[in-house]
Amino acid sequence: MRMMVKTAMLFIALFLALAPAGAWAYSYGDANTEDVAETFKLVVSDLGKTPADWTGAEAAHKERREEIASHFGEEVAATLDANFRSRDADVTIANYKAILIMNLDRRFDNAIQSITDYTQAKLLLAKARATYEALVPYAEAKLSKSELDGLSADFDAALEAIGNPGLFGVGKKEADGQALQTAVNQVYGALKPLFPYAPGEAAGGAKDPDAAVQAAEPDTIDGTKEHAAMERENKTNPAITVGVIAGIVVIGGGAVFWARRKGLL
Amino acid sequence: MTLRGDDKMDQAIDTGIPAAPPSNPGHPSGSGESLRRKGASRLNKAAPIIAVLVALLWAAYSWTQRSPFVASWDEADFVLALDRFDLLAMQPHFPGYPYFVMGAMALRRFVGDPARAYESLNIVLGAASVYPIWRLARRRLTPAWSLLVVLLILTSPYLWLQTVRPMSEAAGIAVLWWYLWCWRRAMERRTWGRMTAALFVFGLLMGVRLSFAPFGLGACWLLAAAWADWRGERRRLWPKLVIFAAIAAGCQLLWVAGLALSEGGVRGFLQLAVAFTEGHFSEWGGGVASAGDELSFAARLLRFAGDNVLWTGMFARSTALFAAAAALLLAAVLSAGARPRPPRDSASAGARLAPRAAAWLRRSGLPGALAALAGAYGAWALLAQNIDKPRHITPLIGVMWLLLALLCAAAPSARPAAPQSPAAPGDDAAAPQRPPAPADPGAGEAPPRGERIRRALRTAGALIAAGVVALQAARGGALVARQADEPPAVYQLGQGLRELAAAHPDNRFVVYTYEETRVLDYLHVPVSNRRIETYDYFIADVQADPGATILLTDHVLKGFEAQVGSLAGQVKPIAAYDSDPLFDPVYGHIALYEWVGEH
Repeated sequence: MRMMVKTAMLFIALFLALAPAGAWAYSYGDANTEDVAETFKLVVSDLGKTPADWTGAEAAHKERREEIASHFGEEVAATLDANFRSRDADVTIANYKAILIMNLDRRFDNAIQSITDYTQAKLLLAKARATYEALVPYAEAKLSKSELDGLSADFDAALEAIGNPGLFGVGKKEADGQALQTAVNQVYGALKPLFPYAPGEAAGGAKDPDAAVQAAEPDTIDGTKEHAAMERENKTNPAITVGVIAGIVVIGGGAVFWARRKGLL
Repeated sequence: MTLRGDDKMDQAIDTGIPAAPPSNPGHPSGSGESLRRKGASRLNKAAPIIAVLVALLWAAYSWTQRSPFVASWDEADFVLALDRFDLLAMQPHFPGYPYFVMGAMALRRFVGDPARAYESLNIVLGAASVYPIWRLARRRLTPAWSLLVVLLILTSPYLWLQTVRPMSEAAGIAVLWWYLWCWRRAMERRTWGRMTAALFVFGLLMGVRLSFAPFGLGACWLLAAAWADWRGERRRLWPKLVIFAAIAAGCQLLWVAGLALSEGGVRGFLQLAVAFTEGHFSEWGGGVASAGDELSFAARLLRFAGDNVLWTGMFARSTALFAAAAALLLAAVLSAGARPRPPRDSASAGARLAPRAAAWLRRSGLPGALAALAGAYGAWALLAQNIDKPRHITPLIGVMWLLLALLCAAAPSARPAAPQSPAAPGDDAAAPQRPPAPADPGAGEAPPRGERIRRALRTAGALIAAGVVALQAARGGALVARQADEPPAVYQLGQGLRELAAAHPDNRFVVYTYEETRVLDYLHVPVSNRRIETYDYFIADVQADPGATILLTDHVLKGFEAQVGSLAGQVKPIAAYDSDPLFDPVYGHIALYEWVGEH
């Protein structure tokens, strides 16, 4: 018996000593990331190399193309495709920054629409902020420090405006739609002129490029836009989840009951 | 070997004296040694009062030495949470610590400063934890020794340092003591009231610090023992199991529900939890990681046990303390070795393993039970926690001191069949909590062998323990004072950046950091700072703003060099900031570089 225990312990010790310890270390990730902004970072990183890594940049962009097309219009996606094909780094990056502006509009607009849903509004504001953070290095060259601090304060004001349920009710605050709209428009209005969008000439044969751009990048955000379904964010249907769990509980309970009736337990 | 000889001689001398402690619990013995007894009993009587006074004194001193600094990412998270509780914005970071933040919110009304509100909470809870420590120790130790245990734990320097920082470790450990006590009570007499109390306090513990979850093994253990009881009752098992599970779940649900509501509902909370856990293993993208990740398991184990637990955790990197603790360990081992051998050893060696293990699980002694729980937590801290941060082992420190004291001076129940009784025969305060005595075949008959040498060793142990307490108090008291006084390296970095920006008002500075960025933001340092991990993106960022002066910290530089090789030629060191790595384990040294790029 003792022999066996010793052997087993030796094996465990060997296994532990050889296994890569790093795999066990955990840390909490950051929910405050935005896919479009992450793709932007990859694209500028690849294009910033000498020589520019167009294959890497295009691969990163392909991952995001569907999202761009569904939210900002096929015309915008086609323009970017053309930019990538023409191998013009400056124009591609400039248009990708404009896409970040469009993304700001999308997230802000959605946040205004979901002001009654605290979690959703907060998540959308966080994604907008992540988008903004990706633009900050470029904005720093164009705006003064105090102007940037003002934008940061506007983000804080927007966060305050969606209210707060508080911790066990402590710190509870109601939402204020008007304040939210003011705050986000200040950010959006300050950033939009800095990163203009250059529509492609014959990209995909769009009928009216200007109208398409206006749709993707309006002058002010009022929370009335029709948005593409957010298929990426609602993958799980809570009703189905609850149903499945309830089903498992019922079946499991039935099995236990049956087993007890038969005297198996 | 020599010990055995002494034992015999001792026994010969002692024969005239009635068997001293264990055989007759609860019965105040009137032996011939009344003089010595009198002194001891006076000390024993005064011990509870001294313990209370010491706790108050400790709290008062700690109160004056509360650190004003918010020196790490995690601490900034907590402090920001007092203004706005927002898990998504990582204030506090996941998983929320709701009771801890609540307590600090309440105390902030009286204290004002958010960092000090957390520290005040830690101090209050720490002082209150003297009660459960005392009650636990009194199960097997005399009042005087229990007082020593309380002192050993209160003055333990590394624990003390954690108490006066805005972190949840110290509060968690204080609640942990309540949990361990309640759990022990429930294990001793498994009534519904006691079990509910244990489960409730476990819920509190989880709501203060989720990473202490391995101590939940105790709750499972309790369930297993209760199950065994219920089976013996020959009644329906399932309803009781369901009730137990419902109580356990309900106590956890309290804080989880509070958290969920703070995120606007269960759906949002789940969404957030998924978002946070998705990033677990990918956050650093392989480019950089905790230094511990590169260690093999053996090296990790060595660093964990040697550096984190012993050198830093127990001895606060003090050689004198190390020597004194080693002497105490020696005394404890000798004392344990000099104890009468349990006669059972040879007889039961052949017994089946499984029934013996089951019996142990149902009737484990206090040291074994504590060691098992601490071991579970230790394994978790070793495998799953960041090894760069020794604070993760802090729950083990107090338990280890208690175990050491038990080894040194516990009532002689190394004979497992004997009823557990306090060592001081004159004291019966602990009698009501005594666990149900298992059958003890002839425990009273065997005369204690070598009582005198055991007593000498116990006295020596007590003296050494008092010495350890004195050393700890001196070292710990000085350390907490220094921690509250010396600005952490991150603060110095912030000040340096302020001065740099003031000296060159025309330059635009951007500083790239890792976790320092959170503190710099908290301090409103007027220089743009960004967290960065990927070298390629850094280069793109630098190109984004050619007019700016680019600064980066050594942590960032090291991360870049892990990705692309040496960058020594492209940076120019401009400043270095240092604080005691005992206070700031990861960011105790920060070097600032200027990026000059390729020439």
